[in-house]
Amino acid sequence: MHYELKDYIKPKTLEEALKLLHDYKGAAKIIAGGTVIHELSERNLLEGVEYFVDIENLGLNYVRIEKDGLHIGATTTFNQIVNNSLFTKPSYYALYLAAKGVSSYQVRNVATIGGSVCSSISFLDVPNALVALNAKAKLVSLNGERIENVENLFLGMLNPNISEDEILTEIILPLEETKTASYYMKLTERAFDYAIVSVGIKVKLNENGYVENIRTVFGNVQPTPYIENKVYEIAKGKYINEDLIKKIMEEIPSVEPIDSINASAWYKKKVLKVLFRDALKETLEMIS
Amino acid sequence: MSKKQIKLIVNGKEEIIEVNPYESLLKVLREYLGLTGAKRGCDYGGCGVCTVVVNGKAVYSCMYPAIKAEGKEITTVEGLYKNGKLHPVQKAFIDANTVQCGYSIPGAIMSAYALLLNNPNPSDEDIKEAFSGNLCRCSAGYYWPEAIKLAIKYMKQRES
Ligand SMILES: Cc1cc2nc3c(=O)[nH]c(=O)nc-3n(C[C@H](O)[C@H](O)[C@H](O)COP(=O)(O)OP(=O)(O)OC[C@H]3O[C@@H](n4cnc5c(N)ncnc54)[C@H](O)[C@@H]3O)c2cc1C
Ligand code: FES
Repeated sequence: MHYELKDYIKPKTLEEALKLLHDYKGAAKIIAGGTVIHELSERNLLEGVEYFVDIENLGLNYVRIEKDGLHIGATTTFNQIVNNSLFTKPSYYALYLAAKGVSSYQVRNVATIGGSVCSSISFLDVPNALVALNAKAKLVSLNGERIENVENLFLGMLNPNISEDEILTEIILPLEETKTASYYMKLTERAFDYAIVSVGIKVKLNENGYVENIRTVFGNVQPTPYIENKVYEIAKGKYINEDLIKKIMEEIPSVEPIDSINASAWYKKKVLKVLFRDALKETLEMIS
Repeated sequence: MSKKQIKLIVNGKEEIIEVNPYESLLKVLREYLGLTGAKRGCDYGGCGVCTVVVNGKAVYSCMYPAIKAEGKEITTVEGLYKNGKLHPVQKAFIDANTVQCGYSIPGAIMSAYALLLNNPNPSDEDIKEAFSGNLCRCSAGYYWPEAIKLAIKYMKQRES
């Protein structure tokens, strides 16, 4: 770790942090857990950055249930998610698995939920799980605030749809739902590797056990989380049995995957079908 | 590059040092404070030999900015040895034959120490998780879980 900064600033309030980002526009970069920042510095990807604004002390570390959903502060760490029993509930289980699947305990002690979204890296797990769960994000700047669906925050690799003077302050998940479960599964070469591909899924059945909604997200298939609408199109209103699963497997993915360093598009296409099947079965098991 | 003066609390002792704004805690511990227990391995979060404990949590000091650690309690392997006595976790690592080359041991000991600090009666799964970020290439890491069990025994003996 060696990068020439003019200063590393630790503001105490959100207002102070927003002002710094505004005043140093472009030259200031947010640092939360610093785990991706470290990687960016090692790879010389911090050009033009002269100041780090550390957002650890802004009071953004919380998990609370409110009327409109489950609010998770941006600097909540992966281990805080894993150790909070709220996230082992079926409605949120995909997020629990994504956070727990980050291989090193030490990384999970510092890596934050906000940092994972704002990195905009296709093979990270937590952002894909959040998209599967229909998460929203709150972004604040001196000009005001906006609430966005998490899937709208990615423009491409390392290119989040977040302006330099904005802070993502929290993630908002829908309230717990009945007859609902979610799951996250990734394929890696070895346990501590990043995902070759991943599947995030959330299923809601109606009282009679027919599909009311399914949301499926594929990770590392496109440069940004890919929402696979085909699954819902085929399964809508139906009862999920082996035949239906086979039918879905024939139709997915509905997009040509990108090649990546650890796997070809051809391989990803084949393996995604199986990963999807297994994730769907796990999800359904949690509902029944 | 402008240096910054910071105050760190390392193994209970206050240290005032000048650091570059973005410098790793690992570098500061090893090169400024002479605490060479934490090792430098991969430098990117892949091995765990740099593990130290910050405010009760195991972290990779290779990617933890020193300035971030200001005002927090930092414990390194040097801080476990007190009044001429090994910490129960250290003794357990020796007695359970966990050491071949030894390079990964200070990091593994700090992960073990953090685990028992937060969870005095860990399950086998908890133990596996706690070591998920520490590698050992000699395969003596196979005995780390056993060392945890031994350490729990030593701690109980110490209390009674
Ligand atoms: C060894 C290792 C293994 C890993 N394995 C996995 C894995 O298996 N799965 C996985 O999903 N991830 C993995 N990660 C990546 C992990 O997701 C990220 O490290 C983490 O979530 C980023 O959070 P951070 O707080 O450290 O971000 P930082 O490094 O602090 O920031 C990342 C980026 O987001 C910006 N940013 C941070 N917070 C905000 C905010 N609130 N508002 C606006 N911008 C912000 C920063 O400016 C920076 O550009 C791994 C990382 C390491 C080092
Ligand atoms: S030196 Fe390898 S994880 Fe820090």
